[in-house]
Amino acid sequence: MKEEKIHKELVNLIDFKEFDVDQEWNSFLDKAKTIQPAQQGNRVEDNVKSAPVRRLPRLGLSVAASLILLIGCMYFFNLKPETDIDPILAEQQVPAEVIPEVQITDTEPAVTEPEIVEYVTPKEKVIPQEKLTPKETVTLAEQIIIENKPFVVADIPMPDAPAPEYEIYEIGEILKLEDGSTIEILDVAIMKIPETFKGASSRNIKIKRGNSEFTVTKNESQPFSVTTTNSEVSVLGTTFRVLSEGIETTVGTIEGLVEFYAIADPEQKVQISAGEEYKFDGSAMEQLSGQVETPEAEMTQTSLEGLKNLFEQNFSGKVNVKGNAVKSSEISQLVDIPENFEEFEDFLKVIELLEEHVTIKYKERRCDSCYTIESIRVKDNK
Amino acid sequence: MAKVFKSDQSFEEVFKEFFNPLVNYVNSKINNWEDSREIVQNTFLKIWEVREKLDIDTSLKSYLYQSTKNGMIDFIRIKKRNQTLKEQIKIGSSEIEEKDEGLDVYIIRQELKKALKTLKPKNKEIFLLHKVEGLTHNEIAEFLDISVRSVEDNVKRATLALREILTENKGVFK
Repeated sequence: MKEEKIHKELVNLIDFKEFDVDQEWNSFLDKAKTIQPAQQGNRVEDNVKSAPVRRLPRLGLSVAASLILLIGCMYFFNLKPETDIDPILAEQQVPAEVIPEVQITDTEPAVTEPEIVEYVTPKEKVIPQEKLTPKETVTLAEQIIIENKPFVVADIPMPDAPAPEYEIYEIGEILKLEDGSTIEILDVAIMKIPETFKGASSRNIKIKRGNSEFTVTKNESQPFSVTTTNSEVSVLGTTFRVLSEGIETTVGTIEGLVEFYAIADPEQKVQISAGEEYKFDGSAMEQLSGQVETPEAEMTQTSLEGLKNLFEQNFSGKVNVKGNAVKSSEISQLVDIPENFEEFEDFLKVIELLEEHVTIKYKERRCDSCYTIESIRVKDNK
Repeated sequence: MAKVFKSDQSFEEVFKEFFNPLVNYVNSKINNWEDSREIVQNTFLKIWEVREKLDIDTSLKSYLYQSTKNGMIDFIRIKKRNQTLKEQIKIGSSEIEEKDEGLDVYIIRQELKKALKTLKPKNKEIFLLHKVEGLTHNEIAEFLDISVRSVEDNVKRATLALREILTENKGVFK
């Protein structure tokens, strides 16, 4: 027993409110009774999924059967009406592969006259009762009665309103995904993030709007993608930002490489390297510049004499510097060079990096990648 | 796997034991007793629906606490979408995690309240004047016009009684 803990909590007792638990229990039971009818007497296989169907009057059943027949015939004759559905919303519709095939008992065409038909699920789908939480939407496919019994389907929502699949995330939130990837919310975002990636062929996040920075853990067997209203970003492992505003999506890569393409026209794609940024406005890709901050190369300073020595040491003798390449009066002049100068193996790349600060004259020699530096001068604007 | 709730009666016992600590916990975050009550009621309703098949791998207390916290986060998100209530709910889910003191303190407070009810009125008054109001033994003696020795005895007796009761009650202070 900790006396100090008791004392501390005694002081806080004044804020502790006690409700009459007997009264609360009775109130709870009243609420519980209202949800009881949907569960009482249910077997596992005919739980709440089929309850709305069983409550339908006979007339309703007939109407539902007719509707199903009509929908079935449309699919049977491949007459699915063309719709202009948002690709994200489209995924929330019933997937085509789970829509049961129609087995028409009569061999005559059944288009003109509605009649009772039997649907058989392509695959038996048993949905355990515990998986049906009030948050779940009961889809067309899930209302199928199990064990290949004849059934009637009605696309009736569950009594409890389904929770939105998209969640709102606040600025500053850092979401850690189960694969170790992180999402930092830079501006209020509406996203759909799966609870688990296990068993999925890819890791997919959907964004309706918002600005987020993704740092993705590399997993080649499970590519990572971010889907916006009309575009998609596909990566293996990298850091990038996605800004989604209506039909416009801007993607900037901070590290690594990402592929950014239009869903409606995957040919319209760009590969975005670190520091680059592209915007898709619903019709075309546009390269933006200077939007994504990339870490600048760390610079250091050395004298022209030091630079001359670095050239001679770094390129395995393939680069020579003439004795009078640096004027004796300028030999102590300082010049900016990359801190990791020694890591550069390409002489021409080094010249390119230094051209902002110094003017280097050189000649190519006969051997491969051999050069002679004739002069090194600090630029006047330095 | 043993059932979590062996009967509806055991569910009722759990409900009555944890209802007040949970409501007080939620209220400490959202500062609205009525909403807090509703959040906890709804949490229990969800558990009620699956009570016969409930299979948890943590303690019941942790399960209730986490379920309630989830319910509260959902509630906050829904409220935040409503502009008119935006000002009322200023706390975010991340803040809940940061400042969360857990359910234990509210269980302790409930047990303390229960324990205090078992004390005799005079004994309780003296004890609270000393422990909560911070009065010294002399000040209490003067205030109640009793001897200092009597104050000391009462405080000691109350402390012992509380210790005994709280140790029996699930050992929340162990």
